[in-house]
Amino acid sequence: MSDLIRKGAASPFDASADWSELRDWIALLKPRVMTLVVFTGLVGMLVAPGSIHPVLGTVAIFCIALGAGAAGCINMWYDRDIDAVMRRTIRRPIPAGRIEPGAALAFGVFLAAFSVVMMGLATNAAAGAWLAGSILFYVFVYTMWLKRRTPQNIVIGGAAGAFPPVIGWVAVTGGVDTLPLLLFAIVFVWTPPHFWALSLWAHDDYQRAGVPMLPVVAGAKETRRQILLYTLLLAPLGLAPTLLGLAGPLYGAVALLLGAGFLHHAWRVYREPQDLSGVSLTGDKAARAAFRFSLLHLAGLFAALAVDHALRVAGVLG
Amino acid sequence: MMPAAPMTKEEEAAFLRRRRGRNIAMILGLIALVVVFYLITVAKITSTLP
Repeated sequence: MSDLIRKGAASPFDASADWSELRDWIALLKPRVMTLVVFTGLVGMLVAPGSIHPVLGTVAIFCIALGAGAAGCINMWYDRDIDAVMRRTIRRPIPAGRIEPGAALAFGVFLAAFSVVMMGLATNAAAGAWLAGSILFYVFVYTMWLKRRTPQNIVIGGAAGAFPPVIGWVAVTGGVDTLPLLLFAIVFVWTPPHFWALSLWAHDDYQRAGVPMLPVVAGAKETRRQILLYTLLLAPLGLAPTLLGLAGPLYGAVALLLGAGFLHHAWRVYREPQDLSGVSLTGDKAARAAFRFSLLHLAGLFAALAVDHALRVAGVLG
Repeated sequence: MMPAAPMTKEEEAAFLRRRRGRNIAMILGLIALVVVFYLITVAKITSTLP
Protein backbone atom coordinates (compact mmCIF):
# COMPACT_ATOMS: atom_id res chain seq x y z
CA MET A 1 0.00 0.00 0.00
CA SER A 2 2.89 2.40 0.80
CA ASP A 3 3.95 1.87 -2.80
CA LEU A 4 0.61 3.14 -4.00
CA ILE A 5 0.82 6.20 -1.75
CA ARG A 6 4.37 7.00 -2.92
CA LYS A 7 3.10 7.05 -6.49
CA GLY A 8 0.61 9.74 -5.46
CA ALA A 9 -2.16 7.54 -6.78
CA ALA A 10 -4.59 8.27 -3.95
CA SER A 11 -5.46 11.80 -5.05
CA PRO A 12 -9.26 11.70 -4.99
CA PHE A 13 -9.69 14.37 -7.66
CA ASP A 14 -7.57 12.64 -10.27
CA ALA A 15 -9.46 12.80 -13.55
CA SER A 16 -8.79 9.13 -14.25
CA ALA A 17 -11.42 7.95 -11.73
CA ASP A 18 -13.36 4.95 -13.01
CA TRP A 19 -17.09 5.73 -13.12
CA SER A 20 -18.16 2.40 -14.57
CA GLU A 21 -18.54 1.00 -11.05
CA LEU A 22 -20.77 3.92 -10.07
CA ARG A 23 -22.91 3.24 -13.15
CA ASP A 24 -23.33 -0.34 -11.95
CA TRP A 25 -24.49 0.80 -8.51
CA ILE A 26 -26.98 3.12 -10.14
CA ALA A 27 -28.14 0.29 -12.43
CA LEU A 28 -28.99 -1.72 -9.28
CA LEU A 29 -31.64 0.90 -8.53
CA LYS A 30 -33.53 0.20 -11.80
CA PRO A 31 -33.52 3.86 -12.87
CA ARG A 32 -36.00 3.30 -15.73
CA VAL A 33 -38.63 1.92 -13.35
CA MET A 34 -37.89 4.84 -11.06
CA THR A 35 -39.00 7.38 -13.68
CA LEU A 36 -42.64 6.31 -13.61
CA VAL A 37 -42.58 5.92 -9.84
CA VAL A 38 -41.26 9.46 -9.39
CA PHE A 39 -43.80 10.85 -11.84
CA THR A 40 -46.83 9.20 -10.24
CA GLY A 41 -45.56 10.15 -6.76
CA LEU A 42 -45.12 13.76 -7.89
CA VAL A 43 -48.66 13.89 -9.31
CA GLY A 44 -50.04 12.43 -6.06
CA MET A 45 -48.31 15.29 -4.28
CA LEU A 46 -49.45 17.98 -6.73
CA VAL A 47 -53.14 17.07 -6.62
CA ALA A 48 -53.27 16.75 -2.84
CA PRO A 49 -55.11 19.51 -0.98
CA GLY A 50 -52.82 21.78 0.99
CA SER A 51 -49.23 22.67 0.36
CA ILE A 52 -45.75 21.52 1.15
CA HIS A 53 -42.53 23.52 1.27
CA PRO A 54 -40.78 23.04 -2.11
CA VAL A 55 -37.61 21.75 -0.44
CA LEU A 56 -39.56 19.21 1.60
CA GLY A 57 -41.55 18.21 -1.48
CA THR A 58 -38.34 17.67 -3.43
CA VAL A 59 -36.89 15.59 -0.60
CA ALA A 60 -40.12 13.54 -0.47
CA ILE A 61 -39.90 12.80 -4.21
CA PHE A 62 -36.23 11.93 -3.81
CA CYS A 63 -37.15 9.53 -0.97
CA ILE A 64 -39.86 7.87 -3.10
CA ALA A 65 -37.27 7.39 -5.88
CA LEU A 66 -34.66 6.11 -3.44
CA GLY A 67 -37.13 3.74 -1.75
CA ALA A 68 -38.19 2.32 -5.12
CA GLY A 69 -34.53 1.99 -6.11
CA ALA A 70 -33.70 0.23 -2.84
CA ALA A 71 -36.55 -2.25 -3.37
CA GLY A 72 -35.30 -2.84 -6.94
CA CYS A 73 -31.78 -3.39 -5.62
CA ILE A 74 -32.91 -6.00 -3.07
CA ASN A 75 -35.00 -7.60 -5.83
CA MET A 76 -31.87 -7.88 -8.00
CA TRP A 77 -29.98 -9.45 -5.10
CA TYR A 78 -32.72 -12.03 -4.50
CA ASP A 79 -33.31 -12.77 -8.19
CA ARG A 80 -29.64 -13.05 -9.17
CA ASP A 81 -30.04 -16.75 -9.98
CA ILE A 82 -32.90 -16.26 -12.44
CA ASP A 83 -31.39 -13.03 -13.80
CA ALA A 84 -28.37 -15.09 -14.83
CA VAL A 85 -30.44 -17.28 -17.16
CA MET A 86 -32.66 -14.61 -18.71
CA ARG A 87 -31.40 -12.80 -21.82
CA ARG A 88 -33.08 -9.56 -20.71
CA THR A 89 -31.28 -9.50 -17.34
CA ILE A 90 -28.03 -11.42 -17.80
CA ARG A 91 -25.98 -8.22 -18.15
CA ARG A 92 -27.19 -6.80 -14.82
CA PRO A 93 -24.30 -6.00 -12.42
CA ILE A 94 -24.77 -9.00 -10.08
CA PRO A 95 -25.17 -11.87 -12.61
CA ALA A 96 -22.39 -10.29 -14.71
CA GLY A 97 -20.12 -10.53 -11.64
CA ARG A 98 -19.38 -6.81 -11.43
CA ILE A 99 -20.97 -6.36 -7.98
CA GLU A 100 -20.89 -8.82 -5.09
CA PRO A 101 -24.39 -10.03 -4.07
CA GLY A 102 -23.78 -9.26 -0.38
CA ALA A 103 -22.66 -5.72 -1.17
CA ALA A 104 -25.79 -5.18 -3.30
CA LEU A 105 -28.01 -6.40 -0.46
CA ALA A 106 -26.30 -4.13 2.06
CA PHE A 107 -26.65 -1.20 -0.35
CA GLY A 108 -30.37 -1.90 -0.86
CA VAL A 109 -31.13 -2.30 2.85
CA PHE A 110 -29.19 0.85 3.71
CA LEU A 111 -30.98 2.91 1.05
CA ALA A 112 -34.37 1.52 2.09
CA ALA A 113 -33.83 2.49 5.74
CA PHE A 114 -32.33 5.82 4.77
CA SER A 115 -35.22 6.76 2.44
CA VAL A 116 -37.85 5.87 5.07
CA VAL A 117 -36.14 7.83 7.87
CA MET A 118 -35.53 10.79 5.58
CA MET A 119 -39.18 10.76 4.41
CA GLY A 120 -40.37 10.70 8.02
CA LEU A 121 -38.07 13.59 8.96
CA ALA A 122 -38.87 15.76 5.95
CA THR A 123 -42.66 15.23 5.79
CA ASN A 124 -44.51 13.12 8.36
CA ALA A 125 -44.40 9.71 10.02
CA ALA A 126 -47.38 8.44 7.99
CA ALA A 127 -45.58 9.06 4.68
CA GLY A 128 -42.52 7.26 6.05
CA ALA A 129 -44.71 4.33 7.10
CA TRP A 130 -46.38 4.15 3.65
CA LEU A 131 -42.96 4.21 1.97
CA ALA A 132 -41.70 1.46 4.30
CA GLY A 133 -44.85 -0.57 3.53
CA SER A 134 -44.32 -0.24 -0.22
CA ILE A 135 -40.69 -1.40 0.03
CA LEU A 136 -41.57 -4.32 2.32
CA PHE A 137 -44.45 -5.32 0.03
CA TYR A 138 -42.23 -5.31 -3.07
CA VAL A 139 -39.43 -7.26 -1.38
CA PHE A 140 -41.32 -9.78 0.73
CA VAL A 141 -44.74 -10.17 -0.92
CA TYR A 142 -43.83 -9.77 -4.60
CA THR A 143 -40.15 -10.77 -4.91
CA MET A 144 -39.83 -13.48 -2.27
CA TRP A 145 -43.35 -14.88 -2.02
CA LEU A 146 -45.35 -14.44 -5.23
CA LYS A 147 -42.96 -14.04 -8.15
CA ARG A 148 -41.79 -17.65 -8.34
CA ARG A 149 -44.98 -19.29 -7.06
CA THR A 150 -48.02 -18.04 -8.92
CA PRO A 151 -49.04 -16.61 -12.29
CA GLN A 152 -50.94 -14.02 -10.25
CA ASN A 153 -47.51 -12.63 -9.19
CA ILE A 154 -47.88 -9.48 -11.20
CA VAL A 155 -51.55 -8.98 -10.27
CA ILE A 156 -50.97 -8.81 -6.52
CA GLY A 157 -47.35 -7.66 -6.76
CA GLY A 158 -48.52 -4.75 -8.92
CA ALA A 159 -49.69 -3.08 -5.73
CA ALA A 160 -46.06 -2.28 -4.94
CA GLY A 161 -45.86 0.03 -7.97
CA ALA A 162 -49.22 1.60 -7.09
CA PHE A 163 -48.06 3.07 -3.77
CA PRO A 164 -46.18 6.21 -4.98
CA PRO A 165 -49.22 8.46 -5.68
CA VAL A 166 -50.55 7.55 -2.23
CA ILE A 167 -47.19 8.30 -0.62
CA GLY A 168 -47.01 11.65 -2.44
CA TRP A 169 -50.50 12.52 -1.23
CA VAL A 170 -49.76 11.45 2.38
CA ALA A 171 -46.53 13.48 2.35
CA VAL A 172 -48.66 16.62 1.87
CA THR A 173 -51.79 15.83 3.88
CA GLY A 174 -50.68 13.28 6.47
CA GLY A 175 -53.66 11.04 5.59
CA VAL A 176 -55.36 9.07 2.82
CA ASP A 177 -58.48 10.00 0.85
CA THR A 178 -60.59 8.71 -2.06
CA LEU A 179 -58.53 10.21 -4.90
CA PRO A 180 -55.16 8.67 -3.92
CA LEU A 181 -56.91 5.33 -3.45
CA LEU A 182 -58.38 5.65 -6.94
CA LEU A 183 -54.91 6.44 -8.32
CA PHE A 184 -53.64 3.37 -6.49
CA ALA A 185 -56.41 1.29 -8.10
CA ILE A 186 -55.62 2.67 -11.57
CA VAL A 187 -51.92 1.72 -11.37
CA PHE A 188 -52.87 -1.61 -9.76
CA VAL A 189 -55.22 -2.59 -12.63
CA TRP A 190 -52.88 -1.11 -15.27
CA THR A 191 -49.91 -3.26 -14.16
CA PRO A 192 -51.09 -6.76 -15.28
CA PRO A 193 -51.87 -5.88 -18.94
CA HIS A 194 -48.65 -3.84 -19.08
CA PHE A 195 -46.44 -6.72 -17.88
CA TRP A 196 -48.38 -9.47 -19.64
CA ALA A 197 -47.89 -7.65 -22.95
CA LEU A 198 -44.14 -7.74 -22.25
CA SER A 199 -44.24 -11.36 -21.12
CA LEU A 200 -45.89 -12.42 -24.40
CA TRP A 201 -42.64 -11.83 -26.24
CA ALA A 202 -40.26 -12.43 -23.29
CA HIS A 203 -42.02 -15.78 -22.76
CA ASP A 204 -38.90 -17.90 -23.49
CA ASP A 205 -36.86 -16.00 -20.92
CA TYR A 206 -39.42 -16.53 -18.16
CA GLN A 207 -39.81 -20.20 -19.08
CA ARG A 208 -36.04 -20.77 -18.95
CA ALA A 209 -35.90 -19.10 -15.52
CA GLY A 210 -38.93 -21.03 -14.25
CA VAL A 211 -40.89 -17.88 -13.45
CA PRO A 212 -44.60 -18.76 -13.69
CA MET A 213 -45.69 -15.76 -15.74
CA LEU A 214 -49.16 -16.15 -17.22
CA PRO A 215 -48.03 -17.07 -20.79
CA VAL A 216 -45.74 -19.78 -19.35
CA VAL A 217 -48.43 -21.33 -17.12
CA ALA A 218 -51.72 -20.66 -18.93
CA GLY A 219 -50.48 -20.07 -22.49
CA ALA A 220 -50.45 -17.07 -24.81
CA LYS A 221 -54.14 -17.39 -25.73
CA GLU A 222 -55.31 -17.01 -22.12
CA THR A 223 -52.82 -14.16 -21.59
CA ARG A 224 -54.33 -12.26 -24.54
CA ARG A 225 -57.80 -12.75 -23.04
CA GLN A 226 -56.65 -11.55 -19.61
CA ILE A 227 -54.99 -8.47 -21.12
CA LEU A 228 -58.30 -7.59 -22.78
CA LEU A 229 -60.30 -8.20 -19.57
CA TYR A 230 -58.04 -6.05 -17.41
CA THR A 231 -58.06 -3.28 -20.01
CA LEU A 232 -61.87 -3.41 -20.05
CA LEU A 233 -61.77 -2.85 -16.30
CA LEU A 234 -59.11 -0.15 -16.54
CA ALA A 235 -60.98 2.11 -19.01
CA PRO A 236 -63.92 2.96 -16.68
CA LEU A 237 -61.62 3.02 -13.66
CA GLY A 238 -59.54 5.69 -15.38
CA LEU A 239 -62.71 7.79 -15.73
CA ALA A 240 -63.72 7.36 -12.09
CA PRO A 241 -61.97 10.51 -10.74
CA THR A 242 -64.08 12.67 -13.07
CA LEU A 243 -67.27 10.66 -12.54
CA LEU A 244 -66.88 11.05 -8.77
CA GLY A 245 -66.21 14.78 -9.08
CA LEU A 246 -62.59 14.48 -7.93
CA ALA A 247 -61.14 15.61 -11.26
CA GLY A 248 -62.37 17.94 -13.99
CA PRO A 249 -63.54 17.49 -17.59
CA LEU A 250 -60.05 17.85 -19.09
CA TYR A 251 -58.85 14.82 -17.18
CA GLY A 252 -62.07 12.99 -18.09
CA ALA A 253 -61.59 13.66 -21.82
CA VAL A 254 -57.94 12.50 -21.75
CA ALA A 255 -58.88 9.41 -19.70
CA LEU A 256 -61.61 8.57 -22.22
CA LEU A 257 -59.22 8.86 -25.17
CA LEU A 258 -56.38 6.95 -23.50
CA GLY A 259 -58.74 4.25 -22.22
CA ALA A 260 -60.15 3.80 -25.71
CA GLY A 261 -56.61 3.70 -27.13
CA PHE A 262 -55.49 1.03 -24.67
CA LEU A 263 -58.65 -0.99 -25.38
CA HIS A 264 -57.91 -0.77 -29.09
CA HIS A 265 -54.38 -2.10 -28.51
CA ALA A 266 -55.66 -4.86 -26.20
CA TRP A 267 -58.18 -5.87 -28.85
CA ARG A 268 -55.39 -6.01 -31.45
CA VAL A 269 -53.35 -8.23 -29.10
CA TYR A 270 -56.41 -10.48 -28.65
CA ARG A 271 -57.08 -10.70 -32.39
CA GLU A 272 -53.45 -10.83 -33.56
CA PRO A 273 -52.71 -13.56 -36.13
CA GLN A 274 -51.64 -16.53 -33.99
CA ASP A 275 -51.30 -20.30 -34.06
CA LEU A 276 -53.62 -22.67 -32.17
CA SER A 277 -51.83 -22.11 -28.85
CA GLY A 278 -52.01 -18.35 -29.21
CA VAL A 279 -48.37 -17.78 -30.18
CA SER A 280 -48.03 -14.74 -32.45
CA LEU A 281 -47.32 -15.19 -36.15
CA THR A 282 -46.19 -11.57 -36.49
CA GLY A 283 -43.33 -11.45 -33.96
CA ASP A 284 -45.71 -10.10 -31.28
CA LYS A 285 -46.09 -6.78 -33.07
CA ALA A 286 -49.42 -6.05 -31.38
CA ALA A 287 -48.10 -6.94 -27.89
CA ARG A 288 -45.05 -4.70 -28.35
CA ALA A 289 -47.28 -1.82 -29.48
CA ALA A 290 -49.63 -2.42 -26.52
CA PHE A 291 -46.67 -2.40 -24.11
CA ARG A 292 -45.42 0.92 -25.51
CA PHE A 293 -48.91 2.40 -25.43
CA SER A 294 -49.45 1.29 -21.82
CA LEU A 295 -46.52 3.48 -20.76
CA LEU A 296 -47.98 6.44 -22.62
CA HIS A 297 -51.41 5.64 -21.14
CA LEU A 298 -50.29 5.84 -17.51
CA ALA A 299 -48.02 8.84 -18.00
CA GLY A 300 -50.79 10.62 -19.97
CA LEU A 301 -53.45 9.94 -17.32
CA PHE A 302 -51.31 11.29 -14.49
CA ALA A 303 -50.09 14.28 -16.52
CA ALA A 304 -53.71 15.12 -17.42
CA LEU A 305 -54.72 14.88 -13.76
CA ALA A 306 -51.95 17.29 -12.73
CA VAL A 307 -52.78 19.79 -15.50
CA ASP A 308 -56.52 19.51 -14.82
CA HIS A 309 -55.91 20.15 -11.12
CA ALA A 310 -53.62 23.14 -11.83
CA LEU A 311 -56.21 24.70 -14.18
CA ARG A 312 -59.01 24.16 -11.70
CA VAL A 313 -56.97 25.72 -8.89
CA ALA A 314 -56.18 28.68 -11.18
CA GLY A 315 -59.90 29.02 -11.89
CA VAL A 316 -59.53 28.32 -15.63
CA LEU A 317 -61.66 25.17 -15.39
CA GLY A 318 -64.79 25.00 -13.24
CA MET B 1 -5.51 -18.54 4.46
CA MET B 2 -3.55 -18.25 1.19
CA PRO B 3 -1.84 -14.88 0.65
CA ALA B 4 -3.42 -12.92 -2.23
CA ALA B 5 -1.50 -13.01 -5.50
CA PRO B 6 0.24 -9.69 -6.22
CA MET B 7 -1.62 -7.48 -8.69
CA THR B 8 -0.30 -6.84 -12.17
CA LYS B 9 0.33 -3.22 -13.18
CA GLU B 10 -2.94 -3.11 -15.13
CA GLU B 11 -4.94 -4.61 -12.26
CA GLU B 12 -3.37 -2.14 -9.85
CA ALA B 13 -4.21 0.79 -12.12
CA ALA B 14 -7.78 -0.42 -12.51
CA PHE B 15 -8.08 -0.89 -8.73
CA LEU B 16 -6.85 2.63 -8.12
CA ARG B 17 -9.21 4.10 -10.70
CA ARG B 18 -12.15 2.26 -9.13
CA ARG B 19 -11.14 3.37 -5.65
CA ARG B 20 -10.82 6.98 -6.80
CA GLY B 21 -14.31 6.81 -8.31
CA ARG B 22 -15.65 5.37 -5.06
CA ASN B 23 -13.91 8.05 -2.97
CA ILE B 24 -15.27 10.90 -5.07
CA ALA B 25 -18.78 9.41 -5.02
CA MET B 26 -18.54 9.03 -1.23
CA ILE B 27 -17.43 12.61 -0.60
CA LEU B 28 -20.07 13.99 -2.98
CA GLY B 29 -22.70 11.86 -1.24
CA LEU B 30 -21.65 13.13 2.18
CA ILE B 31 -21.65 16.76 1.05
CA ALA B 32 -25.11 16.26 -0.50
CA LEU B 33 -26.35 14.74 2.76
CA VAL B 34 -25.12 17.72 4.80
CA VAL B 35 -26.76 20.15 2.36
CA VAL B 36 -30.05 18.21 2.34
CA PHE B 37 -30.24 18.04 6.14
CA TYR B 38 -29.47 21.76 6.35
CA LEU B 39 -32.20 22.56 3.80
CA ILE B 40 -34.74 20.31 5.56
CA THR B 41 -34.02 22.05 8.86
CA VAL B 42 -34.38 25.53 7.35
CA ALA B 43 -37.57 24.51 5.49
CA LYS B 44 -39.09 22.98 8.65
CA ILE B 45 -38.27 26.10 10.68
CA THR B 46 -39.59 28.56 8.10
CA SER B 47 -42.78 26.59 7.48
CA THR B 48 -43.64 26.61 11.21
CA LEU B 49 -43.04 30.35 11.63
CA PRO B 50 -46.24 32.40 12.04
